[in-house]
Amino acid sequence: MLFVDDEEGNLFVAREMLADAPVVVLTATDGASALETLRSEPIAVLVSDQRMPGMSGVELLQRAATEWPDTIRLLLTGFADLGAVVDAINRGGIWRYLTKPIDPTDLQHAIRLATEQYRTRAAHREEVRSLKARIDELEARLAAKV
Amino acid sequence: MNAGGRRIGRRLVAALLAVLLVPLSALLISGEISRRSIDGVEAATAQLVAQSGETLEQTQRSVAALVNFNTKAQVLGVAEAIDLAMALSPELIADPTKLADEVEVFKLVRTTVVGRAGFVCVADLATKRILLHKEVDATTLRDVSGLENAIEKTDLAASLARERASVMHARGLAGWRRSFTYEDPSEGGRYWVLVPLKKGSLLVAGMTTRAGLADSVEMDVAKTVQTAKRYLGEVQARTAAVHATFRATLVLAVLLGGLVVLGGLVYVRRRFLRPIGDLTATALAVQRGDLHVRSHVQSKDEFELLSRAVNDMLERITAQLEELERFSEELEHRVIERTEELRHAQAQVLHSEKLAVVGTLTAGIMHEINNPVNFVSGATFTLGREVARLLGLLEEQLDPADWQTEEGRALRSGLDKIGESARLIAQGSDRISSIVTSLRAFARAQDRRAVVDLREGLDSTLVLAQPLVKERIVVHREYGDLPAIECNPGEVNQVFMNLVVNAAQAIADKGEIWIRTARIGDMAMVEIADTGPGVPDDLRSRIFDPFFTTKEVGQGTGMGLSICAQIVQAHGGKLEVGDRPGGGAIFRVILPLSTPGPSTGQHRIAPV
Repeated sequence: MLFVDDEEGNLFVAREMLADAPVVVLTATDGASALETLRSEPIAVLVSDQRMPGMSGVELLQRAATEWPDTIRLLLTGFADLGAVVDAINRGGIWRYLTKPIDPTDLQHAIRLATEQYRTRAAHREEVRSLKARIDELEARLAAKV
Repeated sequence: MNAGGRRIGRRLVAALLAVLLVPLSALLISGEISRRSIDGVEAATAQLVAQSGETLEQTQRSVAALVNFNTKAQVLGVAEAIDLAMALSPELIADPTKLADEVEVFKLVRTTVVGRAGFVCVADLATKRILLHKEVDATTLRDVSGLENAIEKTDLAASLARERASVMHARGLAGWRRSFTYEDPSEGGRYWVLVPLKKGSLLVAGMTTRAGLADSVEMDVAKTVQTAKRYLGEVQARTAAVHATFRATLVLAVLLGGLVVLGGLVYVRRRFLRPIGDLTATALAVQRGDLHVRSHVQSKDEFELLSRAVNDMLERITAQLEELERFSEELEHRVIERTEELRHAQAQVLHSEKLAVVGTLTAGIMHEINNPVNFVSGATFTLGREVARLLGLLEEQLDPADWQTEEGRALRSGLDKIGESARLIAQGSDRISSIVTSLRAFARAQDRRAVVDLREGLDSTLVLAQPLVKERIVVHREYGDLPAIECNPGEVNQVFMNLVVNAAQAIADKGEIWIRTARIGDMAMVEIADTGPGVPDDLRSRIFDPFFTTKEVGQGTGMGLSICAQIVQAHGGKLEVGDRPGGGAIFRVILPLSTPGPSTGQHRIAPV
């Protein structure tokens, strides 16, 4: 998973909180480096702060949604006015909205659920893919017989 | 007004005419009377002159005759005398019947036949011939029988005499158509007048004396003088009368004229001057500013019309002034009211702007605080966990005896202190976190309506009010069943904050605050009671007024409760104040569970 926050402290805390979780925690301090990481690594869960220099959280999430739709996206912010939350949902297509200060248990729970969600989606996608392959194969065989 | 103008014009003209005409006509009338009197005098004078002239002529003639007689009597025969008589008055002879009737005949005869000697003559008047002429002496003449004898000597007379001899005898000259006897007592003379027996003939007999003639002349003169005197007296009397009349007329005319002029003056005064005076007095009074004065002209003409018009005008002006005054009072009142409302609105706008700034600030501050709080609390988690793990590792690695050494005890104590510190840091960051969360309840949705649980708002309020409460005040939360209500949470929380802060400030030292919630029908009730001094009765009606405060200058704006009341009213609820049994005040916020109508939170400014 990838954790994006302009505060190093938050990144450290996040890593520590998820130290025991069965996930690899990558971090980035701004939107640009986060996008780089997304391009180079397969990311299951993306957690972003809202207020960051350069690129806002919503913007990052929106771009991630377009390029890596399978990635589960969460917004973690100290304060969000209603407009930011609405944007995050409508444009960034976020799965969850978390507020700072976050309880370690809440974060672990959210990440676990997100990972499961990702896995479920991946499984579904694999199933669909194999079903499609099977259909294709069956159709090919049917065509050969006919 | 035109008809009125003509009427006053007519009156003026009539008054002027009366003033001019009455003396004029009096003068004319007196003139006429004078003229007529003068005419009368003139006529009388003329008559007098004529008569005097006649008398004078007569007298002159008599005098002339007397003179003539003196010179001619001796030479003239009777015939000549008759001729003379004829010549003197031919017209009398022409109509003997008439002549016979006139006294003048006698006079003629008498004046013609003069002398002591008498005569008898019968003349034919038609031919003017003397038929009989006999000179007789006075004795003969006086003797009727002698006369008869004389007459009998003529043929004509003889027949006549025979015919009427007896009558003549009996009555003197009986048988004559007419006879007169004239006697003059003063003279002792006696005359006969014999009038014609028949037409054409005349018997004239007469006897007179010279003295008688002279007397006669004298008498004529005396008569003339007398007549003249009489006429002169008459003329004088008439002239005096004329003068008197003229004087009387003049006096009358002057009196009448004066009277008319006086009357005219009185009329003019009554008709014109008095109304004008009244109107002028009214106008001057109005000029001085007395608008209650009225004109009282009752002249039934245009002055009364004018007076009424002026009164009407004054009535209208007075009414308008009164209305103006009322209007200005009302205006003033409205200005005061409006100013109050504007002050109120301004205060609210200021307050709202302040809140908006606070909201924006809060949002920024929350973000800035939450980030460090996030990693502080996160770090305490790691710290606690790591301390625990370290202790576990040490427990595994060290012998129990090692813990008993000084180093071992110091190590354990240090690790315990680290853990305790981590817990304290976590606790502090939790407190910070809860304060920030409460602040968020205030900052969130200042202008938005939401369905919220009022109890959460009260909790947030109490967290923020904690510094005021601390240990000195015990806060009792007695929350009853209360469904979430639709409201503007920011505003409602502001009300709670105000009431809680007021309650806390009302308690000087130590005390208690009760916060109760309940549902009453379709209304939600929140009650905040304190053990402060309470609100005195006389201030109760004013504590919700803008700018009313009991705090020291600079300690309060006086707007708090006023804005609270406005907010609650805008929500369709009410804010009440009462006494807490046992002392202190109770503020009660009553809000409807749902507010009808569009709810945008813009009610904060009361409609003006």
